[in-house]
Amino acid sequence: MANKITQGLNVLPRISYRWLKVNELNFEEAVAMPLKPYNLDFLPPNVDPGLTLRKMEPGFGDQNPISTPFGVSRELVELGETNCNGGFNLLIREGTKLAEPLYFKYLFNEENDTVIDHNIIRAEKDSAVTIVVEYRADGDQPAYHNGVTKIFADQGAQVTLIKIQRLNDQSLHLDSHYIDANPYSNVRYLQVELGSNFAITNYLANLKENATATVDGMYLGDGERTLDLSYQMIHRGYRSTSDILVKGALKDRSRKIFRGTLDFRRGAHLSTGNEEESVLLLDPTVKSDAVPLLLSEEDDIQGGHAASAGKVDPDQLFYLMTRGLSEQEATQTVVKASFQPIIDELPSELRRNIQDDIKRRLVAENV
Amino acid sequence: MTRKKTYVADIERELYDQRNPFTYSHKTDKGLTPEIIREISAQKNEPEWMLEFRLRSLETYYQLDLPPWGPNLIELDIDNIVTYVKPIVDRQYSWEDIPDDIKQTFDLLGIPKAEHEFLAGVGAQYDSEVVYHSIQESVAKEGVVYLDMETAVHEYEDLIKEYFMSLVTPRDHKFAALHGAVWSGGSFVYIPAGVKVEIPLQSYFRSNAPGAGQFEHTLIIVEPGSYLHFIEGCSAPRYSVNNLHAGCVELFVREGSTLRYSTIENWSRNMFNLNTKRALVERDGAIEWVSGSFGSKVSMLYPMSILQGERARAEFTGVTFAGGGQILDTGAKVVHAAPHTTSTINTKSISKGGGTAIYRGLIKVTKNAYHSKSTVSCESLILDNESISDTIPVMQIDTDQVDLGHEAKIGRISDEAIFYLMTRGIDEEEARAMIVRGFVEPISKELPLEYAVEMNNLVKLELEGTIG
Repeated sequence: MANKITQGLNVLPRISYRWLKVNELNFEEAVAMPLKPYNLDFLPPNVDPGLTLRKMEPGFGDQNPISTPFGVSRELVELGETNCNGGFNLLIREGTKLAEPLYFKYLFNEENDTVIDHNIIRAEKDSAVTIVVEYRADGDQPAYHNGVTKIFADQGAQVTLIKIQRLNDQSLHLDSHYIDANPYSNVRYLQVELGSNFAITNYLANLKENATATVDGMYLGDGERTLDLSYQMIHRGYRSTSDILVKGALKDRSRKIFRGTLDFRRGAHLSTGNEEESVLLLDPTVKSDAVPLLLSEEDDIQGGHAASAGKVDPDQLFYLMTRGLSEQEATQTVVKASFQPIIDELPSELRRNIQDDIKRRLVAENV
Repeated sequence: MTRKKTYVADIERELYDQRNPFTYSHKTDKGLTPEIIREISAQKNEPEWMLEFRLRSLETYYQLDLPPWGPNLIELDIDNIVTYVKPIVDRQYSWEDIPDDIKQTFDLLGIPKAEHEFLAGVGAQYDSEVVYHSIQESVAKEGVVYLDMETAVHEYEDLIKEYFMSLVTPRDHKFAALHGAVWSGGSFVYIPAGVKVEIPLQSYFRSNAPGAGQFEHTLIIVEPGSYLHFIEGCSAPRYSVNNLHAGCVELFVREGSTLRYSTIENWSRNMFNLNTKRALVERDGAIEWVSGSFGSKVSMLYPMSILQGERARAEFTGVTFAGGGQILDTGAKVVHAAPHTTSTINTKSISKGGGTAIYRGLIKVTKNAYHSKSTVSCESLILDNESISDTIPVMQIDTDQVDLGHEAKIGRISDEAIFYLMTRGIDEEEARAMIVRGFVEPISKELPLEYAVEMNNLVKLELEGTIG
């Protein structure tokens, strides 16, 4: 059973110089993903008649096997498919538009410290849905999460997936996403990474003609956290649009690797892709790596990436301090402001809670 | 919808493809063995330590593997490459004494004319050995040393022993090890403290032998407060067998000095160009790279600047033009290893006719390099949908006190830019031509005039309809 996690995680689609050790993430020691049941309820109540929602069965066979390799690693995707103890199979029928988000909530406790969830979301023609998935572990008991989420958005479907990760600082979070964006569909992915010792996520979207896929991510690295975030937009059809925007802040001895790829395949003419990563570095002990790849086989496309890293803008700090804020308060204000556009998109009942969490982590002195 | 496309001509190679009959006074067998290494060393009458260095490098070569990243090098069969070809001529200090066919080659490339008009010194290498070396008297009087490496090994043995392959060590990668084992030719430049050499020095490397390797070594030391502009040119005629170029450039830039290193590389399309260039920059020093990559079948070239002293500075300006069948994997690496260091990387690439242009770069900021600043800009233009352009940069930051910005763009000429120029009364075709010329201009303006003209000739445009 491949539940030992060691190496070859989030491998770059094009590798580079070996001595930098950024081509993939490797654990120094193997980490075992426990295989055990999860007995808490995580499905949302009150299901709309326009959809079918079932708990995922382990080993559920896909009717449409995915030919593009994706995920944190192939083994972890297989582990999620064959040994899931959670997850859902969701069908949104043609034309169904849900006004309220579907909210899936995984809480972790001593008996239920492991979630292996396999999720399949199929949004039929012209449907619209917002799905919120939260993973939360308070206390000190390490939590283990390995997720595999697949979204199939049919023609004209609109899918928004919001993922919020708030596991405690001892936890392991592995999360793989595959998006199949068909013509005229629009798939949005909002990602909030606030916890775990290791947070390793992977996202891959296949874009057909006239499809749109976007990523809005925010993360906060504090304590000893390692964040390894991988995104890959593969433009296969013409006039497709992608956008990756990831904002983060690093403090204490946290470490982050951003891997973002825009890949324009032959036939993706008239497509545009954008990729932007910006990180605020708050302590001299942080480490920040970024590998934004731009690959193209087509001439008539527009692709751009921008990455920036640095201290909080001194002019902004100065302005806020002239208004009576201390340096620390001013820094926090700037960091919180950079996260605000994503926070605003979250369900209102979660917003306050997450803002408090960010504030607590920013203030904490992790010596 | 079919658009008319602008035709960008392939690089005019006629001039470079002039082959001379393959003659030599000595050449080694194909392949790589300790015996061949001993033979090369004996031909050069080298000191014992250099022979030992070569043999150690050969061992390292066998230990190291090929890089798993980048272009496929399987086709490169080192057992079929002749590593050492000595031309039928000894090193000359007078142009008149060079055999006619070799002289004619360099005449056609414009080397003696350039020397006469705007260079302070010239070195010309033909296959494995330097055939001509000269330096202006006024420059030599100031203590400037400009020699071929073989002579330098004898005349400046202590300096060479100390610095040779100390910055790019044979352990660096397989082709650095190969270079250490079979190096031949190249230039040694020493600029004494405070001397500013106002006019450039140039070395030209010409590879004429088929199925041969060229492994020249360039070592430059610019002492505190000095200035040098060094120009390197390379070309070879085309053969049906693969040739290999694995040169090595080591630059030592001392306190407060500036070194500008320009390269126009136009190897033939059967050349594997696996070159390693590195500069170590001390306090207040500056390295300025100008790099034009036009030729070769496969190139892997990423000049590296190690900013070791406070306020050291690196600038890199590069243009890569990949035509059909070429894979040009080029870029720049900068390591910020001291406080207040700055770097600027500016690259442009054009790919057409099935060519592959890849930018591969690195910015690394170490823990103590606080208040460092780096700006990277990469722009790629793809002229048709048979060609490929990839951008593979890595940024690695281990401190918080940095200001790092990276930008990359890929795509076609923007309609807005065309429209703007047309509102100014320029017709569409001319507008497009202006934009393509403007695209490569940042590098051509960094070159001495004569070279800028040569480069513009390399990128000939036949404009018709649109680009992209």
